[in-house]
Amino acid sequence: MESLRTNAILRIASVALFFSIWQTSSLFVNIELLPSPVEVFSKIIEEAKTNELFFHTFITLKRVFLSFVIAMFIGTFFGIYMGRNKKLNLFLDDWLVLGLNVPALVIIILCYVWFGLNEVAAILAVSLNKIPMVAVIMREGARSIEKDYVEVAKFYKINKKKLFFKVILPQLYPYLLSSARSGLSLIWKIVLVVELLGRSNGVGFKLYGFFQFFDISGILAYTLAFVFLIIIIEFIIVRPFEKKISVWR
Amino acid sequence: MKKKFQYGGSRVSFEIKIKEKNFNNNHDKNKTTVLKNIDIKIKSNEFVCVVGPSGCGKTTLMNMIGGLIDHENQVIQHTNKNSLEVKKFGYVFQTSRLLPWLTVKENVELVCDVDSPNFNYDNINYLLESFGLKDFVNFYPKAISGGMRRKVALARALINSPKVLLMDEPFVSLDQPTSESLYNVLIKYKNKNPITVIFITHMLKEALLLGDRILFFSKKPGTVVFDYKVKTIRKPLTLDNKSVDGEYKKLKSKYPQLLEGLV
Repeated sequence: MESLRTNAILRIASVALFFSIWQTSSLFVNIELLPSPVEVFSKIIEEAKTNELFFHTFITLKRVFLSFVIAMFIGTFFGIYMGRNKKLNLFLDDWLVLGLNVPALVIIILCYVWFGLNEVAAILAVSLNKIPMVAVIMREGARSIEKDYVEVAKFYKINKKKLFFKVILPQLYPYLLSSARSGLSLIWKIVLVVELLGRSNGVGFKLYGFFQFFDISGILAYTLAFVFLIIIIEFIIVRPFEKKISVWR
Repeated sequence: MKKKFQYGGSRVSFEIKIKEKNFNNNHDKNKTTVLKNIDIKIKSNEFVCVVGPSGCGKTTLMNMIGGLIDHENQVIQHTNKNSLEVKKFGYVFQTSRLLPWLTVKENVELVCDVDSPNFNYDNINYLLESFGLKDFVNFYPKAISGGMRRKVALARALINSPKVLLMDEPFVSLDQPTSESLYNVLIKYKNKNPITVIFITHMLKEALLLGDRILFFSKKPGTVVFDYKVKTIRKPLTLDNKSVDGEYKKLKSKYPQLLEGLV
């Protein structure tokens, strides 16, 4: 209980310090370049009142969610297979290196050029950027699977479903969690670029508008709102899931 | 042709014939012969202990019997061909190999065919209870003692009522009282249920106390150099048992070279 309270105090102190530095800095800098937190919050409320904030944030969140699910599924599938199958790994390894090193912007532009300025191209561009990273993390996970446990399953001839869900998957959870975490933060950053370059809605599109009018408080308002949303997802979904799967530790 | 190891009913008796078992050495591409000229016949319900120096191929033999390593052209065969059944083994590995993310009960349940009409959850509860694990069924392996973990591993190996139980140094690195409590659990089970046990150990006293027969293996390539019928009286089932001690000393003085390296 005592440590919980200490943790809460530390967190609140850290957030308070961040906003204090921001507030103090805004006093010394041109207000148009760095609006104060109060101004940014009032901008958030203003945008929320017109429902603009909810509309664009929801659209972006939908894109983040779709790309995240697609990237996690495909990346996990190939990662596990590459980790378990040496030949497939050799065959696909260079593709993975290529995928990891092609700049996100190149993939986005190519997708828009090849498939048009549409939703499919946008989701595809984001997913393609994330898949190699998920595959690399999951490949490591698959390689670290404890042979002894698989041997127990093999000896008792347990069925494939049980083998995957009871023996393999629990060993991959830390890797899944790590790729989900890094995935979420990377994907939402890429989604904004995708929206900025070729969509007519979403947070990225709004940011582009604010940039055109040099509206820094608008930029910060949307950024803050979305970061807040991601933090909520972390605390409501990711952390409870992490706690649930690591209870045995 | 690869032969499948099968057995039948409670009168399990089988024959293991291995002319030569080689392993490819990845480092220098040379073949290493691990087992050679093995010809063992095991009677049903027999408790056979296998002792021998480290690296003589005992675990390889066990894994070949259990099907974890290919038999290749070796013959590991049931001799009672009239009553073949689906093969049923239990294996207690050198380490408990309990899945740390599953509770005690879930670890045992893992190897059960829960979809089978014959499956009954009460069997798991009953077995765990008889092993003194009733209060620990929902514990994770990390939260129970080393001795208890071995008991759970034993319960997992026995839950499907196997006819053959393979045990590879199952009680190694446990203190004497814990080992002795496990001997009791094992022998109590064996007295109630017909089962053939093949038990690897490097402790001669343990072999004398538990086994009906001891197979002494030579250094690599391992082969049976001495097939010994145990005369020990198993009461009390402790390592301080006078009968064990007497037979142990007798063997030590009669075959000093054979027992070199054994405790």
